[in-house]
Amino acid sequence: MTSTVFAPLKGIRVLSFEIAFALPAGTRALHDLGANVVRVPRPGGTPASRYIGVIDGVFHGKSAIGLDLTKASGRRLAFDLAMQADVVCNNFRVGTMAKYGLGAEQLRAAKPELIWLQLSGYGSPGPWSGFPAYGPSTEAAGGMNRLMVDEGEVPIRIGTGVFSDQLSGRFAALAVASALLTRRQTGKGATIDQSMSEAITHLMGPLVVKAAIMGEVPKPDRNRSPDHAPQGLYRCRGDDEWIAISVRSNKDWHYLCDLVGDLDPRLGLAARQARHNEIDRSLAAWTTGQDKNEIAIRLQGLGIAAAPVRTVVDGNLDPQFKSRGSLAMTRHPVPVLGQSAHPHAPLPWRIVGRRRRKLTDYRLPGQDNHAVLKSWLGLDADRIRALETEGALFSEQPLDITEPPYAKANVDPDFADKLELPE
Amino acid sequence: MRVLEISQSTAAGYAGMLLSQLGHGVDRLDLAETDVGQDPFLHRDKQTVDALPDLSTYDALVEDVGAKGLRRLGTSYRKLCRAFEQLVIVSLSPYGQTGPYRDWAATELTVQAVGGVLHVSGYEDEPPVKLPGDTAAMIAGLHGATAAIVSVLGVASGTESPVHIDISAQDTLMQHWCRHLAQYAYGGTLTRRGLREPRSIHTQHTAMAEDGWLYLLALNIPWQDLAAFLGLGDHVNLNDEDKQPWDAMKAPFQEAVASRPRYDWFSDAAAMGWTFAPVEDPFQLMASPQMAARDAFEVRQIDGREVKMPRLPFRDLTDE
Repeated sequence: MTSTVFAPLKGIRVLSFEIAFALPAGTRALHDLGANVVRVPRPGGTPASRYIGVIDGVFHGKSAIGLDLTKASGRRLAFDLAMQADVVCNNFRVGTMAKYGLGAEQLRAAKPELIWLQLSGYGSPGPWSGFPAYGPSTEAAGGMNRLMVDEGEVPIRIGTGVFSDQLSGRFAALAVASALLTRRQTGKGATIDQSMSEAITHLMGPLVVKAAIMGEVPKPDRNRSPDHAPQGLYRCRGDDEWIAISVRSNKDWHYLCDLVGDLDPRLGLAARQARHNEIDRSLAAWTTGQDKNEIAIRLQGLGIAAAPVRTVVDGNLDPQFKSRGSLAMTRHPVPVLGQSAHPHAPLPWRIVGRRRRKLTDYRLPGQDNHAVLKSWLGLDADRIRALETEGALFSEQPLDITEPPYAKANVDPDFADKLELPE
Repeated sequence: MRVLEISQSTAAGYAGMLLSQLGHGVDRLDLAETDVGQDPFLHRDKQTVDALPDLSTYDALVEDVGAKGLRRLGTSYRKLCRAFEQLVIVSLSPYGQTGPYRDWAATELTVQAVGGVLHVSGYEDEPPVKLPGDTAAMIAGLHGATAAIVSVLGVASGTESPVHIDISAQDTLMQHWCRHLAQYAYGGTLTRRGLREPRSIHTQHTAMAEDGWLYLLALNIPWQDLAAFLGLGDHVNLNDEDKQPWDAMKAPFQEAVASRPRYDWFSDAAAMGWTFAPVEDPFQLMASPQMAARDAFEVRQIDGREVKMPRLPFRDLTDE
């Protein structure tokens, strides 16, 4: 039976022992594709880490239960739930799941068709398998930072904080989807190990292979290109506002010369590359003082590749995102920081003629204890209350957020009005 | 699963390669006008076809040539959907097939610009810096491979009918920037690029160790603990509650980091529960003990040379 909501993983149960961002991003993707995802978080955390969990969006949509894995009854419950799952995954420290009797060997001995996935910074086995990592550590170790600079320069860090996490989450979703397809064809489960660092290396694959062939680390392009010139970022009107411009052909160049004085339309690609610095100065003189969006529209009207460099302010308001529903207002049952909804990214694909699964708000650990244990294990309310009493289950109280637990510097006081957030 | 890849850029090429590495049969129709069509990493283990084949035996089409490219081949999305009812179609493009940017000219740089990751990469005192290679296109390709598999799975399971999925590299890249978007939307935080020189012995540095770069990430750790770990007790008063000015700290800090190999720092920090990391270049990756233990590279012959290529970052350990 086909639904109007795109849900190819409908009926798939995922039990995810997850923390931080990477695996949660992957199971968010599985949720968005129709899977029934139950997350099992660790109890506690600082106000800052809990706040980030609320706003990141990677916990959204999923059910959340509170299992105390330090108690035998909690571990037994986790095992029983795992036996009802199609997929069990975790990004706890390597070895933690086995300590709790929830390792791949233990679970798959009882249910061979289970798909079990572990995601960690460097993968397991290996000498670094137990080493802790945040996403930025794996960007460095996976080769990305070094490839942004030339020999001898200090490697540059990728600024988003969750780049590698999101990438690994997406690879985890691919790994699980692939294993589910294989299971459908063969009946066999899988024990999947995934490395965040290797995900970065894979993304750098063409450059890594180029290095192997050339025998040297490729020179960084920075913002330039061997195929397009001029190409770069040019300062525009406003604080730290930029436009990206790529001239892809002589035709583009002629159009640009018509707009910008001080440029020589006779220059071919090689000559433009040779005089790139000089051209950059002329272009920057032209863009400075102009609005980045207006220039982009003007250049695009001539077929020249140009785009505004989005900031967090206008990124939230980008007309393309708005048109495609790439950021959707997600309603909170109880207002958060005075607003009843905030924008979050749903499944980032448009399914022609179909709807995406609607994203729902963050669920507190333990908020779905009754619903999940009833539907997955058939436990009645009395039994669930008894499990709560003996401490196998826990529930977290809502985080009372009156202001973000971060530095007050660099705050736009008008953000809510600009984004038209509902009260 | 049998897949036809029609590609002119990195996006569909990467999607097709991921599917081929997962064991699916991938045929490739190359419409590239640049040398991206010859990339040995992207085009492993695919069969090349010279013309649009009969698609009745394929499960999925993954393409980045758009309606214009299909017209060159004498077909269209509508014709394909009508003629091949079993076929899942995954379309990859810089901005997607709808919306005001759908016809915008694009390069990797312009997609990174509107995808948001660019603005926060680099240093505050210089323009933002593009991420290496075709990062945005490859992330779209990763989504494309996942879309093809889940859609074919849905059809096989009876939960779905064949669909046409339109994936925009701008949309998929933006997901990697979502924390900063949310920090603005929830609290008005205006994120900026980092400082080239920290104001103090901060918890995030990149510094040269004895044999290469080291990334020192020690979040939520008192600065005194980090200073003591690095052996800086002779240079700073560890009982002082205030962080020492970086001007005073920089030289002894750099000297301390340079005194030991990066893997030694890395493993000692890991023992403390801290998240340092070696900053690896491609050759260091190929020689890394972790990558070697995990057999993370496969060796291929290219022009008579043995070349290492990264394997998929996940593997099934069932039989190991």
